[in-house]
Amino acid sequence: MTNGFWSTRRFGRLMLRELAASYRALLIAMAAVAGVVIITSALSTLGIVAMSPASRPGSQGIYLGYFVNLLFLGGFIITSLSFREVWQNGAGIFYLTLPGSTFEKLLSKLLMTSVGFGVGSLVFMTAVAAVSEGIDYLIFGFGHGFLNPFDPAALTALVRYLLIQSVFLLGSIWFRRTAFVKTALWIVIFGAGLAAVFATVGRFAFANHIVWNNLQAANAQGGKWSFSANGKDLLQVFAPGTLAYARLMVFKTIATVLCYALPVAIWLATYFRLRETEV
Amino acid sequence: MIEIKNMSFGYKRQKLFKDLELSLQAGNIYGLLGKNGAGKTTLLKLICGLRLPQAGTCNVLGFDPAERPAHLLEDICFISEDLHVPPIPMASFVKLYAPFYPRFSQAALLEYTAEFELGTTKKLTELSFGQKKKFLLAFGLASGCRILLMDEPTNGLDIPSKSQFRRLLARAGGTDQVILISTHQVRDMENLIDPIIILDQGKIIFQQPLQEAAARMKTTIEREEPTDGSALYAEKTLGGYVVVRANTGGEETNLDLETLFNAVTTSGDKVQALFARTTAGKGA
Repeated sequence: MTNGFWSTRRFGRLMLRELAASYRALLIAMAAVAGVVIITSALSTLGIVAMSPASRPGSQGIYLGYFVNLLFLGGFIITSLSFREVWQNGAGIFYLTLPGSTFEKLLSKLLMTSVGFGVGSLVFMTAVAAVSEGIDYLIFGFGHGFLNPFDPAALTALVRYLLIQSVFLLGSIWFRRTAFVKTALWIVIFGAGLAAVFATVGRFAFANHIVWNNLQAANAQGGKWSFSANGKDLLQVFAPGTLAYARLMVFKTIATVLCYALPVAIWLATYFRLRETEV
Repeated sequence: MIEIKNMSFGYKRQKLFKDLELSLQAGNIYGLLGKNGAGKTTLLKLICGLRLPQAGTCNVLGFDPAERPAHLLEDICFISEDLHVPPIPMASFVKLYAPFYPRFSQAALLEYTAEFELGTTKKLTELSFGQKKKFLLAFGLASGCRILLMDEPTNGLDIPSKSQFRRLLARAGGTDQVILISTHQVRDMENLIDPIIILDQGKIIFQQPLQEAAARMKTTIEREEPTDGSALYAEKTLGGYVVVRANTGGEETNLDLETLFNAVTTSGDKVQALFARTTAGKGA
């Protein structure tokens, strides 16, 4: 299929270009991460041997933690750098005039940094964990346990990464410099704002269930706002079968739909931002 | 091939073009001249969609460049003054980027790189500025794009490379191509760029073939500075004044680009009136 909007051949060339541009840096980063994982895992196993040999085998899920850290921190940083070339003198001109539609250019960056990085880092961490476990077994006779790539926790992290990653992709085309820091800052500001709105709404909506409790501590005068009856009466309000429960379910469904629709809206915003970018 | 109508564009603090009109036809190597800040680079960027017009239309090969359609980008090559090359060998660059251009010619590239005395094994980032420029010029010429935009192509080239570039461009330019060269180095482009477009204060104040300009203006070397107002332009030089006057007698004189540019930018109204008068005369 070939037209001005989409051509599989053009898209393939753009993907090839993305791989060629980043494979060297990616290999170095992978080697560094593998080294850190193997060494820290071995040190952790050594610690277990030295401190509490009875507690063998070692801490479960150590590799899952590594994977989550790599996925979120590494993924967001890499995503924030994806459109960096647009803002560099010469490189921006070269990229924007490269034959390919805006959609193809966006999709190639998106695939590389979302599914590509997510699945790639899961496969990579599974392989590194296997090597690290092998080394730990060879040296200490036990390890932490392999990383299961189909572990629900890993898959949940992957889904969450894909949802949040879109914001960093938009940030990379929105901000000319320090896109990662600026995007993270905006997420914090947005999160704080949302929390403030919900706290205020909640404070008034559930005013009848919030009481002032005097603190009885020695040498202390004062108190705090808290739910009456430790929130038990509030739970009764939202008990299944009530109108409030039905409303809560509707709210929850809308929130979930919004949560999954948000990346699509952000990809759309990224598309238009890229289309209107001038250098 | 390129039609600009009533196009307006400006930056936040500077209005640049207002109702700009320009029409470029295939088979020409246009020279775009103008003072610093006249908008030459911006005009090139508007033509290839790197800047978006605020009003009016820009039509390139039937496409709106502001949409950056892939089919147009396959047929447009912009060699900017800010060079960018990835840290890969030339051969890898060609392997990676040549397929983007359907009319790319490997044979032409080999010929041009040989002419520029460039190898293919070195990493592009290890080349000097001039070598990078020569490689990108060779790549651009070999791309077979019908629209070739060049911003200061001879900046950074050594003396032999400048003449190599002139030779290549004269050879490579096809009848279905528009080549638009923005430059300050008019001497480098002498006998190559024609017609000439002069941009001043956001307006095209001159767009004529050199032959036409020479038919209507003549230059003479005079001892005294003309004061009777008959001269379009006079410039002090060694041993006298270079004077540009209306060529009423149909004399054949050598009108160099620098003098033409200075005459047009300092006496734009007089020059425009001269061309308008002659055109009207021809029409009658």
